[in-house]
Amino acid sequence: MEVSNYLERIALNDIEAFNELYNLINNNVYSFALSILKNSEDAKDVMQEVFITIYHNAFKYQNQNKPMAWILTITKNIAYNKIRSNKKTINVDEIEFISKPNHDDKILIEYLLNNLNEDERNIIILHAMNGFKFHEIAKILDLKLTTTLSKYHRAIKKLKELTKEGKNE
Amino acid sequence: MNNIEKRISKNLNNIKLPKFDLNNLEKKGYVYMEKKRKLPIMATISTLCVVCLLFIGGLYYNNNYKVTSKVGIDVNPSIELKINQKEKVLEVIANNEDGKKIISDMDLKGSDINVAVNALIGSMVKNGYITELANSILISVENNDNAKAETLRQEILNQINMENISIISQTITEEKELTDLSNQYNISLGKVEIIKQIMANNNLLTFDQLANLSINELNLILKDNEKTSGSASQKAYIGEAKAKEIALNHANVTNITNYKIELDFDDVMVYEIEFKANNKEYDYEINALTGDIIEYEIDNNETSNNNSSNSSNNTTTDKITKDEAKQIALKHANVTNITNYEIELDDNKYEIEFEANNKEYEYEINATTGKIIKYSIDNNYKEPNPIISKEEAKQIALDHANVTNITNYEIELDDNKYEIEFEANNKEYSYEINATTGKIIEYEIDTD
Repeated sequence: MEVSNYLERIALNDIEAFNELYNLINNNVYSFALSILKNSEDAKDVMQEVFITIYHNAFKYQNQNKPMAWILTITKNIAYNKIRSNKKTINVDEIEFISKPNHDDKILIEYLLNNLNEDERNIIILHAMNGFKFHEIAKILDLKLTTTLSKYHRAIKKLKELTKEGKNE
Repeated sequence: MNNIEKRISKNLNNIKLPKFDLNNLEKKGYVYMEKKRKLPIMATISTLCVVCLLFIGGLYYNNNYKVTSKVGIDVNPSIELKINQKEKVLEVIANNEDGKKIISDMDLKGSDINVAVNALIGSMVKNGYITELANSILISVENNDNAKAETLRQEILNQINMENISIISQTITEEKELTDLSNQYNISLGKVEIIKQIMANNNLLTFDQLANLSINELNLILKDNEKTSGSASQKAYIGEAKAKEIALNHANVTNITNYKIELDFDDVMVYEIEFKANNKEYDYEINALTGDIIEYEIDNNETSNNNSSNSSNNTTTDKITKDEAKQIALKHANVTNITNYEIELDDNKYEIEFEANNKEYEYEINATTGKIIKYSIDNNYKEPNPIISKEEAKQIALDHANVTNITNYEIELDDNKYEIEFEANNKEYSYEINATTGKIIEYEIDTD
């Protein structure tokens, strides 16, 4: 079932649909919030607020066609309104995984969150997790399409180099 | 998407997040949930009963701890009650997370089975699992003695005092086949049994498809059956009137006869509609949630047997050619770029199939007159399964890399391509293989 169908059902007060939607996309919302805030607990708070907003506003979203873009724009707005912690780096050990990631994957996530700048992180995460087109990402992040593309390529290049260094450690 | 992004996505999706508890948020005042209280005092009364019965229950010992029957309740919360010969609850087991939520603040041990069932159903209503949109409950009674199971089933059914719900009730026997399926799909024995019933009536459906459906959807597919009481809610769907309107508008007809409509399941819940108009027969399949037309067929009531006495298909002199038949179909479908084209002459009619614009077209054309006998268009067309299996694709990659002992093997089918990754001899291999032809599209070998 598509996200828009869930929203239609949630608009009719269907709690089962709400729970299913949460299970379906909570990692997408959380990851984007984490990308902006670099703090796992703050990202969880934002995620909760986003889903409360969805619950109350699903009825406004009937018959439109890009529900994930709508949801992640809400995520961005709520995350940017949150007071941010001053921490410059995030320790991946703060994040709880369902199954323990292997060493290389852990390094990759650490690099992603700590070594890329904010726009780069956001673009990579939105692209990797939601299958958006670049013009859609540009719209969510209020960036120009050309900027989005060049930042994306720079970020991928950085990640490739960084992960190679990581392996040689 | 490249490998790095796949790894990022995989790991970010692997992050453990808390369960979302709307009820708890409501208590804190974050959320307001509209409730449909149909049993306002039931829960309270039942809790009191539980307390009383607990005292009484404590006085008995001997055989009262032996489980004689099991009663399963499925809505989405799935709960199993183990009961003794006096029909008192010995143990309450939640089969899923929703089930845990329902029984979290209830202590039903020692209470009468009917009190427990009513209390649980009341709580499911209160917590929004049983609603106007999905009002079905599945009750499954298990006892080695079939007659006893049947008596208990009827008794429970008679004691459920709620309106506007639909109950499917059944007796089940624990068999290895059911238990295996129950473990494999992580659903209750009762749900396994009801799915098997549905499959027995419709051999086109698979267990995989049905296991994911809600009890309300299963109830709708099961249709009226001696096992069900009350009707399953269709309120989540667009409704028969709207579905009819969509079909009639599409067919552009108003005066119809022989109208039939049925809610059914074909990958999704659909309305199947049949009618006749202008001497043609129409069949529509409409997505019950969205109102999209999934598939339709129009039968022009043309016959193919102008020539039936001439049974030999080899005499093609008085027939139109395959190419002419193809052109008739393409012109009617108004498409030019087609794939997977097939044509066959059978019983003096051409059967033509092709795909275009993500739709699948089927035509039957009279081979003598060139008239379209009937045609159908499937809007919901999905790519055919790849011809090359995962195992074969793996073997192609391994043969090419000339390795046998590999680690961290991963394979993914995307856009009719297999993306294969593995490590061997301290090198990382990645391959892209065409899933239809088995041809290696691209490969990369990284040395650490």
